[in-house]
Amino acid sequence: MATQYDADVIVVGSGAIGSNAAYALASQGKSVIILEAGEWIPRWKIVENFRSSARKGNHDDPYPDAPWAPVSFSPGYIENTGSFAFLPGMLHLVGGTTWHWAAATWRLLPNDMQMKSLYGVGRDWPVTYDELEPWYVKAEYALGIAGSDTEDQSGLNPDTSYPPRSAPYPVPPEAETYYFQRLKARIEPEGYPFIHEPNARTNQPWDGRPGCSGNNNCMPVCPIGAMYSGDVHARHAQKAGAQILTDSTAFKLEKGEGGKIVAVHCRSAKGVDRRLTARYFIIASNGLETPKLLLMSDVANSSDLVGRNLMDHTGIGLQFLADEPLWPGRGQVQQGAIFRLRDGAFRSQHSAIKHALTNTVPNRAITEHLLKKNIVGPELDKQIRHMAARWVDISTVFEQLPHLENRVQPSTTRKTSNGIPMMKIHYDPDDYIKAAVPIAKQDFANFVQIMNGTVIEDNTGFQNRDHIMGTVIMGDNHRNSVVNHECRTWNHPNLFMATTGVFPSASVVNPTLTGIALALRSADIIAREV
Amino acid sequence: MDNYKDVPPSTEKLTRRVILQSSAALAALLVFSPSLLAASSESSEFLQISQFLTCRPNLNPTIAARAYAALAAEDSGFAEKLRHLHDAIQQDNFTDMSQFGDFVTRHPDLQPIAMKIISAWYLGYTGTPSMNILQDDTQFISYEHALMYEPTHDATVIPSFSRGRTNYWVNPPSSLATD
Repeated sequence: MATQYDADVIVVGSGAIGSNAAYALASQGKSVIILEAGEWIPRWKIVENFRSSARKGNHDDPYPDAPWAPVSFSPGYIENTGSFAFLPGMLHLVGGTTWHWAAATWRLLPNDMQMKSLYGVGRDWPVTYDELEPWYVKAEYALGIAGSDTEDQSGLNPDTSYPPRSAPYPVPPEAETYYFQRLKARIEPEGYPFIHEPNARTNQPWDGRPGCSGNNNCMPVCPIGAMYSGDVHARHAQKAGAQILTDSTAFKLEKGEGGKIVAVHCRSAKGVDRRLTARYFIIASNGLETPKLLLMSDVANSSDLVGRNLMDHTGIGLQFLADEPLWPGRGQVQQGAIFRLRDGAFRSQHSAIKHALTNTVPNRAITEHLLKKNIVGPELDKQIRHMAARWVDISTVFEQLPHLENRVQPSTTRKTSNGIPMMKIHYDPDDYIKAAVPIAKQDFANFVQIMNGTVIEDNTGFQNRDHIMGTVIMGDNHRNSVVNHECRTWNHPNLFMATTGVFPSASVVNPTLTGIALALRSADIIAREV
Repeated sequence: MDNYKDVPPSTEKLTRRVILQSSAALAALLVFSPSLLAASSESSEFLQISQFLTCRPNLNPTIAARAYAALAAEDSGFAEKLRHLHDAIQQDNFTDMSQFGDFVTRHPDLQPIAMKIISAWYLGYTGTPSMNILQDDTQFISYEHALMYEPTHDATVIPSFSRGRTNYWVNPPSSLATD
């Protein structure tokens, strides 16, 4: 008698990457189950949670934080043992952490994927840009990406279009904010290319989403859903026949004959366990939870690399007051990037650098600053307006290299309320990014000088950027990596990873679009085998 | 907000006022409770002092009750300190907040309480919010009524309450020349 399965494919995790893979499979007629640790809650509740909270700058705050499905900022969920407190804001609900990203959707450059062969540092990808390019197009059309078809996103060759594209962006770029226009007009001529940031914040109707109206609240929640979040494709997958099981935390992958995974075990809030079988399994539980699940299950780890090589775009920041009113805060929370050193021979010596222009309404930061200086009365109102008009906020990122000792592991001492281990992280920013810090700080000094500015803060120390990579690393053989170029685990032919955790190198750009492109490619491979 | 050429300014203002009134009424319903009634006489004095300290003659009494409750909850001596502040303001005949520096030089012990009251009204919360852990000493008071948004309300939004439309941001606020 033929074996019966609960589904053709089980996807663990309903975030942007897992849901896109699930939809691709369900729309081809495959039976799909999506497991989600958290719940499915409507946008308006998240918006109301945000509006009635004292912690508006804390991006996990308006989201469900259950003792059995905690957000990463839940006290004690992540224990750090390294020199840096690695604390990305990750969520547990249908749609995942793209509920509070700022929707930057850059492609990698071809050179980003050849760090070892071109620059002698880090690792090469076992897949080329050209192989990935058609999948970038599919991902961009799935999300309705607004982008420029005419710019060189490496910043190197003005008036050319780069990296190569086989199709135009689905949505034209949004208008440049006045703030961006003025900074660009004054800073770009001094050798700092300003590039439009492709983004999943549509500015015209797309796939049931409205155009952005400038709520300036991409993080922690877009009140109107103009900004893409993973729940869009969770819904699409469900309509295409996929079954979404919420309150279902995967805690064990069960091995069977021939190296295959035969089942996933998941647990509810009340501690009720289920065993679900499938022909194929896709783990899409983000770059921390995914390796944690593999380590808890003792699978896919013959290389001893699961959970290791943890990377982020660890960065620094700058705030200053310009000498003219620029009025940040009109439009989305960030726009554009400054790419003087995105790529080049210098990458053999130090990390690349991206400076991004933050465009949030700055009143809270300014008022806290002024009140600390005991400024009150009519002067307080006057200075709030004066500073809010001139506030410039730059968020800078670096490219951390993969290192074995930077790693995530299941906690041996702390568990969720239903008995699933929390996590332990060790992370040290490396010398490769430390060598780029003085260069970035010289850029800061130049920006301030060009804008005839007054520094508010130019010595932040390293900051989290919440871009988790490297923990289920991709490579060209089973000894140096966890997955192959298809994102298939070397040890288990029916187990795939759909997470930015597969990245062998970090680059300096936000990883989610590449993660979705890789997952759509994996789903296509699986669909032909199931 | 400016720059929406197809929305007549009067209509826009009316709409916004109606929305603000509705949310104030809703907020009043949500915070009505016996513990707040008991605090009502202190709240009345608190409202007067708040109006003076913030240079706002018409602060919302509902928000005042919330601010009082939050400040009293984090400091059991708050009512007493408030009375001292009240008495000192009266005795000094202190009437001009632009002279606040002189006032607190005479009464350094009253500066923290005055700043806490001003902070609560401007920020809309008490305590220090944590950015990356869900654990701190904050209490929420108000968002839309936080005074820190008033000085810029013609130029930028209170985040999540857009009054604009796609690409309005291509232009600066009409006040630019005088900013």
